[in-house]
Amino acid sequence: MQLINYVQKHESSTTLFSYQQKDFSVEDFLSEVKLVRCNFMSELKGKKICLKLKSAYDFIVMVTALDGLCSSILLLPYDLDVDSTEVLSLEHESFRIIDNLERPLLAKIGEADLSSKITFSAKTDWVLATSGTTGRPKLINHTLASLIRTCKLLKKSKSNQNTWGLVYQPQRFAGLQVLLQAMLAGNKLVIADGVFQNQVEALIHGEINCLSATPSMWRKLLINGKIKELDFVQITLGGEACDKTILSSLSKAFPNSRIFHIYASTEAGVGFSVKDKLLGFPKGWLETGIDGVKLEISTNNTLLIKPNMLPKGAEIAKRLDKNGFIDSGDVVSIFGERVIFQGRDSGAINVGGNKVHPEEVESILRELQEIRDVKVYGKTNPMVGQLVVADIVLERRTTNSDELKVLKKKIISSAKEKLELYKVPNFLTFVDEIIINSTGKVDRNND
Amino acid sequence: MELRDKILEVVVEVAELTDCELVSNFTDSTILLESGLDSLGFAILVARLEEELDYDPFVEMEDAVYPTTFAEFVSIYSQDK
Repeated sequence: MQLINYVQKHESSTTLFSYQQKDFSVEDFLSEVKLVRCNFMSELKGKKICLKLKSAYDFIVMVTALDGLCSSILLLPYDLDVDSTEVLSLEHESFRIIDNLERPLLAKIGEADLSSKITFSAKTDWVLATSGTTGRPKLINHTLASLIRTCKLLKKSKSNQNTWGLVYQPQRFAGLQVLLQAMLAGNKLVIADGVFQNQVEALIHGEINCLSATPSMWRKLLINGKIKELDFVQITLGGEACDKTILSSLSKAFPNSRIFHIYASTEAGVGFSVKDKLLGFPKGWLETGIDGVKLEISTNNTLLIKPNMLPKGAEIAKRLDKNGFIDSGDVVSIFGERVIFQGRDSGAINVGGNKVHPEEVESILRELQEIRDVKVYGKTNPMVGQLVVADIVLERRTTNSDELKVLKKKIISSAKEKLELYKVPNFLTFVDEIIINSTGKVDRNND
Repeated sequence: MELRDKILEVVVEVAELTDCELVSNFTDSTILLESGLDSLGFAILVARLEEELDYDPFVEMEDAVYPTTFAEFVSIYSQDK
């Protein structure tokens, strides 16, 4: 089934999208999709097409129109640099890169053409780029079926009243999950893009009650505070390791909401979700698996995943071990009955040969009530490789140097109580905010 | 504050940070390797001083110099940049 068929199942008057404070019904949306199909039908049929559109709504129209028409769609984030765009579209063998949807052109199509049923039956690959945190982004071949595998599971729940917010870019895996989830269920999706303040306004104005975002983004939303007036039923976290503080702050702010921590990646698709509001996942899953996904811990303490449906292609095949597991690169440890995420294997700071996971240090520091937010990263040092640095946002800002001195002492001594000495930050800098990048994650790559 | 005192202040801070106990009679002639600071401590000390003084003489010097005593360490920092 094509994406357009899923949309056609919904009542035509149902509001499907809200973008820049304008609502689009199923009818509005489908007529635009059909216009695009009419326009591009002869030119793009059976071709490989690269989409790199800035407007999230245009992107959604376009991808719905092309699914079933083209043989393959490469979805690139609109802010991807020129070099990577060229390399990836060449690798994909894109026939054309569409980076602008020209509406005046669309308007020329007459009503008569529209009413004719435009159906195609091509099997379309959905090709996504990995975030490329470890080098150049790689192409991963998905299909609509592999992308919506878990959406169907969620669809069974009574979701008619759900209004989803979209703060991720829809061209990336996490955003696509939210988009497809809402489109399949016929839920309104409030597309909140642009700068943070505009995103918040859009979410509030759209009265969303479901939102999927990274822990960093949730932290930012809680700090901003406006989000607290919304009545959430579904809170989803993903993309980064959760810590105790974010889970407890969210449960406190939204006691009636479900809180899921989704474990997914562009490579492996959605692995599993944890629904008990606790850190990590139950140790028992290493034996039994979860939702058809098998889990193991490698000798390097990274989590190995074997999903029941994997994207195809050479890039994936290369990453599978002989038993069909894919190394997630996420380091885990077992504490009691839980398997806890420590951080990215590639993101560890190396202090004189000792590995320090910034996420672990951050989560310890966040437990201090004086600290509102924190980012931990490595600073190159000729003698020991790297030193641990922490940028700190205080709960109560101060510029009084004596007060700051006392705070520094308190932060360090509290870190020393809970962490090995080499993990304790050697430098504390007080900053106004922690910047998150376009994927909603904290960028720790600055030195 | 005199450069020597500034450096000493950072030495004390770093010792505290790394749980190293400085020798009780810390003077200009104290041998650095016997001062109580460990290698992580020295790494932090030099990085800290670079932040405070905007200057890392160990990176900028042409021939490697290894200070033995605290006084020699201070003199490396007080040489013309």
